[in-house]
Amino acid sequence: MRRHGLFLLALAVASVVQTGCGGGSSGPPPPPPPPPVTVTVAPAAPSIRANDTQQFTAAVTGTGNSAVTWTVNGVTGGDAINGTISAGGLYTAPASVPNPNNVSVRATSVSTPATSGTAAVTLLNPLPVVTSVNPSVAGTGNFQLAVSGTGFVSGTQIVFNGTPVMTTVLTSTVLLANVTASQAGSFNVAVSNPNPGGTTSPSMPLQVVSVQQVTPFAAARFLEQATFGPTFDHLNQLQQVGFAQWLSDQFNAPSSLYPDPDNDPTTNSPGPLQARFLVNALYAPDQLRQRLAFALQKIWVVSWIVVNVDEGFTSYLRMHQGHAFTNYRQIMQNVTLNPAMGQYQDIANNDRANPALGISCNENYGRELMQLFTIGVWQLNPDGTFILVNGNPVPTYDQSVVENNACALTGWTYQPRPGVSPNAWPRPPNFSGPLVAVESHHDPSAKVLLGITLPPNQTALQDLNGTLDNLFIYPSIAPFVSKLLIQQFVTSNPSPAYVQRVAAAFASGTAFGFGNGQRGEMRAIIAAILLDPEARAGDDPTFVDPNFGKFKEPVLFMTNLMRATGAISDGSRWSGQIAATGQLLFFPPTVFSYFSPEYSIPGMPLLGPEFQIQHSATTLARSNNLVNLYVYGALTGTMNSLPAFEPLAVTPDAPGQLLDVLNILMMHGTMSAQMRQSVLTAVNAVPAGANQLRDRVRQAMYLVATSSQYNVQR
Amino acid sequence: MPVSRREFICKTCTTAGALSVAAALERYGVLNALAQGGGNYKALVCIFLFGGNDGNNLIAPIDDVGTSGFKYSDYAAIRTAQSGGGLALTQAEMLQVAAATAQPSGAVNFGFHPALSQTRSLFQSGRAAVVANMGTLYEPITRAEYVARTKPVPANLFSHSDQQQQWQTSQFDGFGTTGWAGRTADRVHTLFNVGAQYPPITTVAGTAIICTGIQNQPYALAPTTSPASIGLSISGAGSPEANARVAALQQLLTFDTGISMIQAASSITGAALQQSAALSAALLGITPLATTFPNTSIGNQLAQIARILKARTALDANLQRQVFFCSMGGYDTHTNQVPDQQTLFAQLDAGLRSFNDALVELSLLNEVTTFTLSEFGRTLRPASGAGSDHGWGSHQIVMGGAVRGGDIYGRLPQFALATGDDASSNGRWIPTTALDQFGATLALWFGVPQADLPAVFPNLANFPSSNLGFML
Repeated sequence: MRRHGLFLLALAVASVVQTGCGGGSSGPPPPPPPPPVTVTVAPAAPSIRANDTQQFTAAVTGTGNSAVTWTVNGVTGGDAINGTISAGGLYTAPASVPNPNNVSVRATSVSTPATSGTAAVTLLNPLPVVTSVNPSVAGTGNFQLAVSGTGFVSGTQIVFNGTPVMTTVLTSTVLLANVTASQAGSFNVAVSNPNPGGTTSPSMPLQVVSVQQVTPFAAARFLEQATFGPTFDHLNQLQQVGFAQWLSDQFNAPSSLYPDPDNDPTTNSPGPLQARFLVNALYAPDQLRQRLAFALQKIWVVSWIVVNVDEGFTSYLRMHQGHAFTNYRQIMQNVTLNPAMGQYQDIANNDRANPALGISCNENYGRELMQLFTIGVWQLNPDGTFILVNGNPVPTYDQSVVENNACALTGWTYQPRPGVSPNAWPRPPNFSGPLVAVESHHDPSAKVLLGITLPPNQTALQDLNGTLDNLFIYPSIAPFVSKLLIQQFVTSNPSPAYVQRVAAAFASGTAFGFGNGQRGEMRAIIAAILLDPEARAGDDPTFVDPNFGKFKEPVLFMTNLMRATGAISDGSRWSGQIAATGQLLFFPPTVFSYFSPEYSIPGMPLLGPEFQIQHSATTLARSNNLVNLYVYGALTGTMNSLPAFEPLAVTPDAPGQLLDVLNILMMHGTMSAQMRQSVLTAVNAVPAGANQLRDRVRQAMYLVATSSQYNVQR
Repeated sequence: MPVSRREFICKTCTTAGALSVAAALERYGVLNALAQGGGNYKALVCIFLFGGNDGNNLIAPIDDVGTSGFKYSDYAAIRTAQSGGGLALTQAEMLQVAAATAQPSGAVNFGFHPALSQTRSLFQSGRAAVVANMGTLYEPITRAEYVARTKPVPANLFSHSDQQQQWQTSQFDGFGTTGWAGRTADRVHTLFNVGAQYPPITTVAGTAIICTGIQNQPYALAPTTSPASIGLSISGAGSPEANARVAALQQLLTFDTGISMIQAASSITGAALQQSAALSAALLGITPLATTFPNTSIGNQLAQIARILKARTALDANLQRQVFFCSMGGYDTHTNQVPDQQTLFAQLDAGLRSFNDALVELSLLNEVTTFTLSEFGRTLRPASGAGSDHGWGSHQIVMGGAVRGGDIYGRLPQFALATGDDASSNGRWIPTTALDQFGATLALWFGVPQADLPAVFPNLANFPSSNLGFML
């Protein structure tokens, strides 16, 4: 451009000079007129989709000044309706296509404003893209489908299995439609945009599963396994939507909350957190998330006995709520760097070894990480049985691996509090965020782990990832973790085949249409546990496996009772009562939790973890401090709703109705005829009087709630 | 050899059961006569220190007398980390005692931890003894054999849950399902508690497996439960409606027992109802003890045990042998060992003194023997965080009038790393005395016939002696 301009300048000068010298009639001929200025815009007639950009160029001839002013439909720089254009000619199409859908992009010469060039732009609707479909698994019948993505406009339609359906465009990124799937199978969900430029997006799959006729008994039993106890409303809802839809809804339900700590170091009490835990368990909709978070608390244990400040324990509780439905590898990472766990298991301020000073790396977490949280002490087959060599089980790790893990996990400490130097070591507790690494305190030696060696001189984070990855890919982790979770939800003694199926879901990351296909995917594992045939077999009360089930631990026992009876409670004051029955919430006695997964019932070849805290003192406390107090007593902050049952106990033969209702709500249909008769006799022994209805209900409720039949979840 | 956890094979009951019945038939007449005399009562009290108590600082040599490696300065050199995380007791703060018997190294003078002043005074008056470097062992093993694994070693050493289980079951493959105190109690219950309704073991610290027998399950109660609240609370007690409620509750316990979990729950509840009624009545009938106990967890537990001892005849006149279980937690001193052990030992010490005084008050000093257990000792070398890591062998305390006190039984370890008694490089002591020997010594005093010992302590035959001699 520059040379051309100089040449033109030279010509112009030359022509001026020549013109200035002329005067005689016999002078040289007049110079030719200058060439006209033209402006040519390219591309000349593009089609551009909403929100897309297009770089225009303006070729200016006939003048040395190539500068142009860009306008859209006459407006310099354009506007939101017709699109904007930068000084350099970069056009951005509007978000919404105007009507008519053409605009004119004009470049006007700065030196010769009368001259300009134009491009005729045809605007098209954006390309629609589907990013997610909710639910991704649905039951047969009619359901609301929500599609998320980009490029949605007025008139966008969801295309369900090739057929466009009436669609509500909620926002430019969310569409809703009611669809009907009359049979099970895999369906395609796509989105199509109208003209101008209408196209259909690539599709995403939606799985439709047959909804069994979910009987009330089956619904109640499923809710015992998956929530803090059945309620009437939940029973009805689950019967309508079926297990798969219920799971899908629960996976997407937002998390219930814990209150912010007051950050006052002089007031630290577990009371408000314990009360909130109970209130969430009793009333919050995200039942499955909370039940899983509670299970994770009992596996990745932190106890208020050590972490005894609001800030610390709140961070721990929120962490488990937050990552419950993510991925086990993510859980491993989050917990290892959680400051509460850092305090509880001495990860924080774990210093590199220094033999000269007589210091060795702290082994506390390095051991428990393997023994309790990931792979266990014995090598397992995929079905959870011990691998045997010459008839003996084979250890997963030995003391040297513990020591190497310990050193691999050195160098982490609390974030510095205000006033604490970033170079300080060790640092005082600070629960405001994850642990951070101080490399000079990280052990630089090589670490020999399980089948691999971490090279020397890695950073703390590299070694941490190396250690966790090493455990995450170790085969035993799938059956070990699967069995722990099965025990938390369904049964203390799963068959090897059941463990194997859940372990397969851990490894593959999908089960029953749930999960994203990544190893350790929690949704797949939970779906595998709850939808497994072994878990669901007892939905039919006539199917009896004598060794199936688990004993209700105190917290679950109480929430089940309160939810079944519609209690109104602020959650306060119950933790002390529940503690008398062997489980003080948030105070597991050791890192082995309130009870050990390996505890076996005396005199039986069966595991019964919850029985470890069930003995003469605690069984009597269950009847006294929980049932008797709830049914007959009064506890500030809680009101039972037993009066709601009184209409069922009105007439002399009506108490049978009451027991039938309790049989559904509390025992999922398993109340034996003997038991029913025995309770009925006691109910009918309540004499006539002003309080007969009330006392009949209490009599029935007390006997059912204290019964072993109710105390066992099966 | 280990069997799958799912196979329930009773390893200790079949032949031993026959033996003890025979023994009972043989001795019934003699023993019953002694029992009538009322002078044959004995009790064992187990205090389990959960977490792994660092025995290195319970007692240590206080001077440099003796063979190199076994002196105070050897102990101190390793325990003192220059970074300030040192754990060594100073000679000035240790509470000096002279053991009645010199160690093989020649050492005679030792020092208790400064917080154990009452224990030291009991030791000096012959009422307490120390059993040194005791731990879980299949058979005696040297460091070379341990490192080369030429002899079997208990499974998962240094793991809390496994070692707690093994210290309580005395079965070192990790698959034990009964406790050695439970098996001991089974035997003496048959021999000495003929006609008793109440079980031989009472626990105030939950159902640890040590209390689980084959025939007998323990009675559990909380340490602070008042006598009146032991048992079922009945709203409207005495009314026809309440009576009907209790009758139905009892009846329900007999239904649906084909379901294993229901059966297990019902048998716990049924036993609880029966036994709690007896205990409640007995405790309501006694006057309070004059001895006061500190208001600590261990203090409250030992106080409850003392009250039950006082009420024992009212509880069950046929109960001539009882075992009690209590515990303390917090001994897992990975960090802050110095202040933590100070606090814990002070509580233990005060509890032991009060319990001793209560036994004097009850004239049961010679009848009751108290002992500590802990799932392992700790590394002599400190770990980062001013604490220590899991060890193996450790020292325990035995207390009572029947104890041959004022002495240390067994050999203290050589205070050297990566050699001698060290199973590692941090000072984890290979035990020089076996848990089985310790338990057998107590069991013999308690009345378990010599011939029955192998059934209770399966590995006992691997050791030179089944009686360490610390009981009179």
